[in-house]
Amino acid sequence: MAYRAEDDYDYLFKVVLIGDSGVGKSNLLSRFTRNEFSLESKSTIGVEFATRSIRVDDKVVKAQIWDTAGQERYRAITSAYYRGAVGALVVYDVTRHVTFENVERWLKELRDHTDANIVIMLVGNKADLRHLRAVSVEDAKGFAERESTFFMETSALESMNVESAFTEVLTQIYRVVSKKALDIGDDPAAPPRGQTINVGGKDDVSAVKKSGCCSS
Amino acid sequence: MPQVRSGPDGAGGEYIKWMCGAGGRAGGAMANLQRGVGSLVRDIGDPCLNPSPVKGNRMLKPEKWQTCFDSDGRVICFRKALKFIVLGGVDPSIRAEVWEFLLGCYALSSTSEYRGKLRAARRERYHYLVRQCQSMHASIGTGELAYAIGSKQMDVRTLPKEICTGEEVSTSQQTSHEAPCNVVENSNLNCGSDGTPQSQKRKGCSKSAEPIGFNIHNDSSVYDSSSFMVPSTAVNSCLRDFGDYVDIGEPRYDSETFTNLPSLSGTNLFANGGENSNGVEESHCSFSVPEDRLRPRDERMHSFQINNNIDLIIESNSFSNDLFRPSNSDSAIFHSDAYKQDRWLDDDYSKEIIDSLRISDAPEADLVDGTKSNGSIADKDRISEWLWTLHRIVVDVVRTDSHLDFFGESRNMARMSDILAVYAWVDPSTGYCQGMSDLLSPFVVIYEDDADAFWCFEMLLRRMRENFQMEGPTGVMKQLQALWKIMELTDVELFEHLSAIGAESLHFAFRMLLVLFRRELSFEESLIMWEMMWAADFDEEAIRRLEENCLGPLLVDLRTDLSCEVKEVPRMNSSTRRKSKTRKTHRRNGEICGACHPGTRSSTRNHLCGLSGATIWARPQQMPQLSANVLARSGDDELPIFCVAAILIINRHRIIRGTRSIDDAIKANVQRQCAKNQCKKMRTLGHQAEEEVLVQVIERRLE
Repeated sequence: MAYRAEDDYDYLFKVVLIGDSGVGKSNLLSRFTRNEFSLESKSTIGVEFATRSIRVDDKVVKAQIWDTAGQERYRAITSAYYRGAVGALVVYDVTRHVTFENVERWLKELRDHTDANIVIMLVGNKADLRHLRAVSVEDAKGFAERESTFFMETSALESMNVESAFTEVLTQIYRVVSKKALDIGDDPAAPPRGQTINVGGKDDVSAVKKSGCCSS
Repeated sequence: MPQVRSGPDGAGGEYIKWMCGAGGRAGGAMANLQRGVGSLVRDIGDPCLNPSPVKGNRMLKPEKWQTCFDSDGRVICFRKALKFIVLGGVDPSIRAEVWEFLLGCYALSSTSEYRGKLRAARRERYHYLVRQCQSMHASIGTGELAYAIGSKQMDVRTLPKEICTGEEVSTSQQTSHEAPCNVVENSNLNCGSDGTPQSQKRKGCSKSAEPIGFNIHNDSSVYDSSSFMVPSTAVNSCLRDFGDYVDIGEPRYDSETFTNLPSLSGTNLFANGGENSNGVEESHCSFSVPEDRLRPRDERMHSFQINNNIDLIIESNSFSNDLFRPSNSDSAIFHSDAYKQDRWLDDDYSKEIIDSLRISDAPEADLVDGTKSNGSIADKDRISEWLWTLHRIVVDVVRTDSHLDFFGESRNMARMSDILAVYAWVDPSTGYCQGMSDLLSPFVVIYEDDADAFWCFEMLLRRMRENFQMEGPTGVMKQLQALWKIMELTDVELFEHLSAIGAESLHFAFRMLLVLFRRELSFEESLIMWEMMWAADFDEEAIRRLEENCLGPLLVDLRTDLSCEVKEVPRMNSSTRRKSKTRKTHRRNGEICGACHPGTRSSTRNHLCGLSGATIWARPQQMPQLSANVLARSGDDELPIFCVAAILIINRHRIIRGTRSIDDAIKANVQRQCAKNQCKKMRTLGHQAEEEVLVQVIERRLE
């Protein structure tokens, strides 16, 4: 098929972007979904969304990515956005050590609000600012290992690893889902089309509903 | 990995899809709503916000405005002015003046003489507060940003790529975990003890945060000065004194490293020690720029410390300038020389500082709000928290309206930063919260004097403070609930549609309410939107009540300050003020209920939400359902809710159609074409509806 409508997907995964303010979450999002980067991007107020579909194996996986404000006092309300998330990119800024230190808190919050099976990737953004680096790859790797998360350094500006980071998360979610489906005897290739997959099996699947639900 | 592209516009075309009303496709109903409603705001704004010849006649012009005053300068026919403002905004040449009345900075009945005095007193108070803040961080009030950091600078990736060795990194990290001490106790940096003449130091100080020195290099053009991080004002000012050396670029990543720490009460900011302390050593280790290029050679480098929280260093010379001079001269004035800073070590001294912040009639609780007011620990925590707040402020200031040339000048960014810093200081229970810079920016553009901008900003925040306090944007959340209720009562179909697509949270409207459409409209459009809203909602009674929300440190008493007659100066007994300082939820809620003008249109609570009332009247069959208590919990800034509701309702068809088309996996081209036509139609419809609404507002309001 030369062109596949955006609606046409096999899986819909909700992924959240979290991390301190100013680490580049919004630019990671825009780089991945629109291939855009802006030096003049504003702070995110509330929550923003974007989607993009990729292909994993022979399936179309649609990622619905939620980008939230970074400031701490917004966390009270952003926590609502975690519901139904099956993947998360926890972003820090490699040039600001404190944003790396805070990853621990973000992880805790994430785990408090999501299912244990959520796929998490630690992302060190702004890796192009090599001369300003304040967090070493080794430290971050070590931390990611201890926390059992994936890890990647990215540069939204140089478009470095952005694709890989998101793709990796989505692929891993897909694997989890496939495996889970296998485990329970379903055909992994035929999940109910368009339903948001809940990795963990919690009830509060997702606020996002597929088209079928929205007719009125 | 092969990707499924969503359409010719590239991956994730949903970002723009809804803009044309074509409706989203799968999954992203929420995303569509967010973007879609944003575009609706814009569409509505288009016709009536873009000054056209027709609209121009309706806008409040200077000639009209001049006729609104009596011989003493009292505003006598403000309603007439309001009518014009609601229809077309305010002529930019008189905007500054008109806004002060709209926001309630001055009572309509005040004489121009009185206003002049009040303005002078407020300016004096503001500058006094600036000096206070300057005593804690020398960059405040200097026209420089507290830190040359922030995404804008950070993202200017034109820097020479210097290799940062692992050793440096680890050193930096080690530094960052250096044994901590308390900010207040250790703020006696050694800048002043190096024998540099005070005057010279002062000069350095005033330039503290400027990204300095690159022009000295031959290849300066390569550098964008804004991209260099200056580790601390202390470092900078000290270095600058040596005039001809240059770049401070080396420690720049240090400054970045330690910004934006979310919480640090009791955080230890400075290592103790003298010139040869570890801090100094560490700082040298952590420089990433080759020594032969940039290192200041002067041994007086050692006169400052760098350690884990390098950028929070308080300059000693900041104590040398009569910084704690309260406006009423009887209060304690602390005048120190460079060697007195060690008084910072002293709890009594820090208490003295806090005391000196107090104006004569302000209760102590106002100043150490929320903390155990007598504890010096609390005072220190407050200072240290404020210092960290500066980071957050700068991070956001550099990316606020950065598309405007105006904010291309760092001086103007610094004005914004100063005002936010002063606000965070006088209102510690709010501090700085993302979104505030969006609200402040127009005032900085419109008012030449920072104090005037500050006062307008503060008046606006009095209405919206609940959105920005520590516990989260509770005000907006309440507003969203109210919005949901309004939708339920006024437009069942739309309500059900939104429910069906899972948009009950109405989070797509969050941003509109938090920063009052600043992100949906252009800069100029949002100014007009604001003044139209304020005019539609203008209520002298409500504004009088706002005066009670005045923060303690901002109370201006013309009797003591200017020995003139007191008039309309917010004065309360201390218990009232203390209450208002702590959080007025209860009182506010009560007021809102009591705010209805009984007798007139109590069922719609119209006086607070003129636009809203009119909007709903436009759908008269649903009116009776909107009972008075719908909004009882919505906070006291209700008009924006009704604006959003109006936008949604006016564009209901578009919304319903747009978000329903999720189901339709129709060919994109066809859809896009339809969308274009729809778009045009909707613009016209939106225009008409808006006119209708506004006309009704005026009629109802002025009848």
